[in-house]
Amino acid sequence: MLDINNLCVSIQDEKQQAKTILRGLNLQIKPGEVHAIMGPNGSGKSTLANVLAGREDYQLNDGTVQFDGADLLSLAPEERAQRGLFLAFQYPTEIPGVNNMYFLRTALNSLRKYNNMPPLDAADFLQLVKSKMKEVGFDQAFLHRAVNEGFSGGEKKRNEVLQMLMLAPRFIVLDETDSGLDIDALQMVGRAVNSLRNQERSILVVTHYQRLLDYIQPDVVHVMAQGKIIKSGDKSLALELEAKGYSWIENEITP
Amino acid sequence: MKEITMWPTWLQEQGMTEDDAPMPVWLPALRKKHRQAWQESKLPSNQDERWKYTDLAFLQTERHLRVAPAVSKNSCDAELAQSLAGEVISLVWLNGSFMPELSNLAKLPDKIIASSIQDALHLHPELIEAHFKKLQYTNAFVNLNAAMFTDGVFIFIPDNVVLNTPIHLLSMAKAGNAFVSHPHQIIQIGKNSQVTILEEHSGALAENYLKNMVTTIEVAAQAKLNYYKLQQESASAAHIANTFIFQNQDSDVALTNFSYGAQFARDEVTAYLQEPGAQCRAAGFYQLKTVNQYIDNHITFDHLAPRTQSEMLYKGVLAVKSRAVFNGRLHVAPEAKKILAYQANHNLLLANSAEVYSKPELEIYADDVKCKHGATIGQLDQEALFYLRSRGIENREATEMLLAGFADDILQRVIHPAIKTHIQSKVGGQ
Repeated sequence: MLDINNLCVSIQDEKQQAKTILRGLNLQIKPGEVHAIMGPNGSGKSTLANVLAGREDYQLNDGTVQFDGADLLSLAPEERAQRGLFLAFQYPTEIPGVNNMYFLRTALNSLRKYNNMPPLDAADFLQLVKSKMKEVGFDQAFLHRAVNEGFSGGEKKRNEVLQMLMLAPRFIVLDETDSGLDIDALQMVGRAVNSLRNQERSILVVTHYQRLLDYIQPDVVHVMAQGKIIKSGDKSLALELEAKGYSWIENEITP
Repeated sequence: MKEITMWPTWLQEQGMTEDDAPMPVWLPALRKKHRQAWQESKLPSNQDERWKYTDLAFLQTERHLRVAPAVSKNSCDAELAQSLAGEVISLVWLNGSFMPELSNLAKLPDKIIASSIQDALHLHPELIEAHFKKLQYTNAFVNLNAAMFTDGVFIFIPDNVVLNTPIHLLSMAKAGNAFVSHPHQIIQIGKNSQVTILEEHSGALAENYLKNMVTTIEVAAQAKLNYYKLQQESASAAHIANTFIFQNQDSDVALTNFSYGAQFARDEVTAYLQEPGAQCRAAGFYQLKTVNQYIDNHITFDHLAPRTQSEMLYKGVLAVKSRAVFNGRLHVAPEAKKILAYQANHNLLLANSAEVYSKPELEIYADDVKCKHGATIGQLDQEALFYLRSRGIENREATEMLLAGFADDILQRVIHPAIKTHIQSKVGGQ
């Protein structure tokens, strides 16, 4: 489903100098698989997530990303979403004046339009969104507020999970969705992700901590450092990292 | 640029001709007085601080007819005239002339007057005369209006009346020839009374006209006025509006202005908070989408008494090469203590060649005054745009959503549900 080859990406820093972040990253994710990427701060995990979603701040230096056989990097952010890619943001943006329900409905109907489906009418939409809000433990008042505006950190994450459930994307990237969440919220994220898990859908979980992986059992765990994946293994690798930190792998790779 | 200080010849010639319509005996002298004052005034130029960014050269380019040629009522947008039917008391003007057959006064209570100025001149000449006797105009366009007005509106609400049905003042234009009109509006609200008014301007595409209007609003003690204005003149038209508001004790006025149309639009509002406890909130949203469009808001609050409050919140979007001006003037007289005032102007520029001139002017002569002001000029929030697009929403639609979101806090000030829906349908939004 997703095939990343030798991805090299840099960003302009405050002094307008190019700073290399991803240095030849390779990653293949097949339909139905759940992968986790762990790694220390500054290793490039969030950059990878944002490059996949189509954020324009980055400069592509080399490499390719194929998504269902298409050149993902040539697609506009909305086209990526329409083809089924979804990023749950680490820091969701506040959008004053744009009503959350209106936003959700416009997003859902944009995807339906792409898939040649008629727009969902107001009543059907409301029924759907209410049931999904229940799943994420979100009060209905949040529908009538501006998107993420004045939401707490946890509420913003719930809103991301709500969007994920509503849009039911085929490829989900969770960028540190667990950060700042209490145990109850963490369990909710786990339940929501697991409810979507199936043979066709792939999930990439970016996290610092092993804890989220107690709820979302990954098929593969990758360790990322200095802009590339330096070690991959099964879920026991996550436990090992939790116990021993990252430095032992980094030492292993760069003697 | 060569400075033009003369009023255009066609306008001067119109100013010389006597009006031969029947009128009350005092009116010719009044017109003459204002005509003289106007003729003695120069055409405002860039040398004048209040007109520094304004280019009135368009006045010279085309001779406008004194009165629009008669057209059939069927030629205008009858759908618009009916759009709030059942919800409002409506008065409709076409090309500056009152159209009784398009208006609907069925819900007008007996004790309230809402009529064209022409009708009021004949039915209530003493009230109109008293209005003109009180006023001292210094602005050239206001004098021009007083000298040449042919129609407009007179609204009189006695004391202790709460009018739940809004009054819709709709002005439409479709003439096929360039013409000028000078609508004159007089609105008087008695003690403890409450009213909602929607003033709407609409012009058929490419219609060329100059509208030079003057509105005087008197709000007696404890009275409440909600005044909405929706300006969607033709993209070739010029709209010049001067509004004067006189507020007595504890009166409450909320003005909400939506400006989208006209090639040239200038709205000047002056509110006199002349007795303790009076408060006035002016808000506006302007969107410039036509190349070289000009929209100008000059707002003045004159705090003349203690415990008066005022607020200005104007927001604008400039989508193309165009120019917007905001000038918020606050004057606090020495005896006006315990004043609260706030003013803000926020602009989004979507084109490199768009220009905004935002200027706060604060003249405070009293102690114990709390006044905040701020102005911003920025671009569309790229983070927010990316967020929306990352959910599958097309760039264009996402941009529209963000612009509607930017305008939303102004739109939320429209309390009356039918009027809110009406404005939303005209300007887009959630």
